[in-house]
Amino acid sequence: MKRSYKRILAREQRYGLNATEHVRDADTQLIQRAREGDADAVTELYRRHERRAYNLAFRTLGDPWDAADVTQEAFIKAFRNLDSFKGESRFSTWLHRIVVNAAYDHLRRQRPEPMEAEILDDLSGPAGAAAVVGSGRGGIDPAMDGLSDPLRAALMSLNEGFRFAVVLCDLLGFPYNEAAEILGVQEGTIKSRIFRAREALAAALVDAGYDLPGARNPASQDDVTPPGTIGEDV
Amino acid sequence: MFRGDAHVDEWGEVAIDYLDGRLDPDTKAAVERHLHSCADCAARLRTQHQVTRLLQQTELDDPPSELQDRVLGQLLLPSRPVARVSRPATEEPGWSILWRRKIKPWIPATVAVAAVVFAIVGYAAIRSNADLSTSKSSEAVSTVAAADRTADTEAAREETLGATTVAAGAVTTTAAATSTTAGATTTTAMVVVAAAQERDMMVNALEGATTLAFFVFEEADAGTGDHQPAGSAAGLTAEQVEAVASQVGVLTGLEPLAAELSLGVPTFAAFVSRDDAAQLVDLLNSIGESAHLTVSVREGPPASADEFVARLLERETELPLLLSGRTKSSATSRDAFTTSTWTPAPGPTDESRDVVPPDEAGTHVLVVIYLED
Repeated sequence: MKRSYKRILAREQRYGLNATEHVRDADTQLIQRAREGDADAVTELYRRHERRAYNLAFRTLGDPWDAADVTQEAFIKAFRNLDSFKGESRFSTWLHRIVVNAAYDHLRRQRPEPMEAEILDDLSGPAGAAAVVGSGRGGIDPAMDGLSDPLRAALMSLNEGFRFAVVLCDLLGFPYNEAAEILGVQEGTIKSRIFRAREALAAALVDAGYDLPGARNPASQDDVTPPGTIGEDV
Repeated sequence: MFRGDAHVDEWGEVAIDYLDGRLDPDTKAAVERHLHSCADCAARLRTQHQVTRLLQQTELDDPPSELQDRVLGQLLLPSRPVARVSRPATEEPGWSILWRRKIKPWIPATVAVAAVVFAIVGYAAIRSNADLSTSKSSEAVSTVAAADRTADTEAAREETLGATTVAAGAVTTTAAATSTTAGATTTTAMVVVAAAQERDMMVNALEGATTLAFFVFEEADAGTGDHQPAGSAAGLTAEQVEAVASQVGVLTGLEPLAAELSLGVPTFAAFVSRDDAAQLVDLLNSIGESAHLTVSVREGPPASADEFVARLLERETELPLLLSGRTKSSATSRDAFTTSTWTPAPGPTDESRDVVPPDEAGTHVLVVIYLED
């Protein structure tokens, strides 16, 4: 996939992570040193990937404490199994796949939690998306959270597969092919999920009072897939 | 793949590539022809663009600064407490929010390496009780233990088990650090006895102890070689004592004992259910770990603490219960400790009531935590 240089630069500035090949080489060198027991290499590897890994967990789980636990678990697992990283994909891909698995495990352990139907009810109620936060994930301190409440609520209203895709690509800036590898699906599936996830997000945001010209209101138009039923791929 | 007559639902993948500017010229032209003729699809692509921008403009959050310490500490020093700390001392502590919900506190590195915390656990003999013979589980035993109390108290206790926090009312006076002589002697005794012990051993010791058990927090280095009794706990500043005492207070919800009842330094005491032994050990371990201290457990009080234990037992009916609550419904749930008073409200008419402390049923232990300065 060809990406414009400008876009790569923007990505690097945004995530503090250089996406070009020489950095991949740097990761490879650090991994080699880390395997040999070099503590500085372990530290450096951790620092390079901590931010995105944590935000992946945070944005998909919706809870900073859970996210910290999952991130910790994933890094420990990754570093203790460095030998099983064969270098066939990027280290970043491999690592974030471990984060995704840990996050999925966490979500499975967490059930039963508020189900999609309840969230939909909340979204369509007069309190709007804010009610999702209040009823679904109590105890979160909004001051800790860079996302606005409606956007966070909208994200959490997505089914998991869609949420992980849109968080990876639109929020964290992973290329589609890498996100596909991380989630273990086809690149076309990622794109399809992203497209529909964005529509569902737009609908939820409009419902919560955001001004998004052109966004369709699912309550008034039957032909738009509502957020709660987009879990199945086409 | 792209059909010029279909709406965008049919070609979402192509729309994504169109928005990213990655289509070949022919397909791009075909998409634009459709958008010119279909206001609905054009609006939906504008929405896609807006949502994408909104997401891309969202600031990523900083991970908790303690996360690095936890991960690297666990990776690089698996057999020792977290030891790598790179955070500047001036940084705002990041754990103030996190510890509200976690049994594992992320204590800032500024907490003294030399901090010493003792937890003294005393057990009263299991009281012979005919009702106990009908109980099969320790949970049932616990319920029987509450039977002597008023219905109100039992209800309150049930509520607390459900992680509803009830303020500890019995022991509230702030302790003032007055005397250090007795404590210094104690420190020596503790350090000599201390040895690295595994968590399970400590839990078993706490669950199974019949007389007295002591949790000992000491310097991480002191337990690795020959014991060096003298001066191991020196150098703990008032700020450091305050910091560790504050951890204990916040994490348990307990308030320090009154000065005349304490060991001359900030001291905490509470009954803890045997069922919560693992939670308590984890809590104490995590405090020790974060403060670079090791924790071990032994039986028997330090000589200088005998009098303190006697004084404390005289007033055990005033001590709070410390409960580990794990229900999902509470915002402060998941292994958080909560406190409550277990005694009926004292009143003139209640003086004659046969108040039975929880430990007499054998279901609870009396835990004392204090700081050495």
